[in-house]
Amino acid sequence: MLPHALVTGGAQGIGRAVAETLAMGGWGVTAADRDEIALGQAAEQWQGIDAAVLDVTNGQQVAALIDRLPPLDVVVNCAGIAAELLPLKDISREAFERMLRVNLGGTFFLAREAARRMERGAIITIASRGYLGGAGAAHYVASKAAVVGLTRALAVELRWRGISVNAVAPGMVETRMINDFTADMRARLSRLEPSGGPMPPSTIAGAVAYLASDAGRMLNGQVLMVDGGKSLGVVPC
Amino acid sequence: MLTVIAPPGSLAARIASQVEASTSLPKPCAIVDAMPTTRAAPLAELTNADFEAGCIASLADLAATLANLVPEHRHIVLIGTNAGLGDWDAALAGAFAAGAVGLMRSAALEYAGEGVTMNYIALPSSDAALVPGAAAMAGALLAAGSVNGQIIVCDGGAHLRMRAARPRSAALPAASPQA
Repeated sequence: MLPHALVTGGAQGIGRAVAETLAMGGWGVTAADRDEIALGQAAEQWQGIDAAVLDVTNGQQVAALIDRLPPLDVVVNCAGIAAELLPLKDISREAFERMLRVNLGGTFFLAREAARRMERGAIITIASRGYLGGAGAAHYVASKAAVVGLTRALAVELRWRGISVNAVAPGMVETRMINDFTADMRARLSRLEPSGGPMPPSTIAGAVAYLASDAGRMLNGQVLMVDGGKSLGVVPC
Repeated sequence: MLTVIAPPGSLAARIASQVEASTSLPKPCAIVDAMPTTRAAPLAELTNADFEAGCIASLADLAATLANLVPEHRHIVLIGTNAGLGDWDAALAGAFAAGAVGLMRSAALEYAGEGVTMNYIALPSSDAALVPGAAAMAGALLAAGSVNGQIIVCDGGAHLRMRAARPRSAALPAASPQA
């Protein structure tokens, strides 16, 4: 039987690239997403990837899906949202909580339900370079920093069961999330990137595939910064 | 002037009392309790309600607190834990602590131009013995106003031993005998 991976947020962007990269690498893959239309469109082009509709903020849905799948070797939570830049005082409680429910809650529920069922393997979370801090994005940063804290705690707990837990922290990636930004914001963010603009989702998928590999599972509790060095703080001006 | 956002008797409140008694603060300052409220438990035992209370509500509350303090309060210190480094039975405490740090660093960046500083003192537990050292550090951060967006781990270097990386039986203290 092929090793099996569950990838959430799998219809588009980083999640889709991860699903396709793992499938090309010989994995059995289930790509889950709450966007049924986007999932259907992607599935038309897939071979060897199963599609499943899933809302990662619903722990019961996550549990039910995993119960239907073959035993999992790897889970990757790519489902996530961003938001327009807002001053701290202008972020509503509703917006703050929604950010946490999707970005952190999705990671928590997937990890919990997978860990309850996995014998060994890897849990891979998607944080963001932004977890180090960002003006005007307090809710997004808090959610991604919390993902990192969760990742490290789970790594401590699950390593003794043969499950590695690591995070990938992407810099700016060419996804719908970025394309939803205004042209001005997109240009401003691009100027801060060492490479001059966003990287393709396949770059992040490569990092995830490494963490899913036998060699990558020797890492544990780490945050793999895939940001072209932006986190070094050296910004050309 | 020192504003204290902490439950009475909490570690943050006791630290604030010592700061008030020992430090002259020329500008409005604040000490904010950022201790996790969640229970410690293995991942598989955590419920949806644990997650909701321990991460969603508590981080949203902390964000609202900080938003209300800036920019009038020029220097702010959060009193939290170092659970964000990773620890046993700390899935939610670790997520909360790291989320609080992310929030602090973002707010620090956002308000740095207005002369506001914000820092986070990370303690290993709620042990009262930690109060004097943490109070000295908090007082220095509030009085100096030149350190911004930093996490200061006040544990005497205990985290250097990497205790959390040991097997559970060696990492966690033995359970207290039940009465």
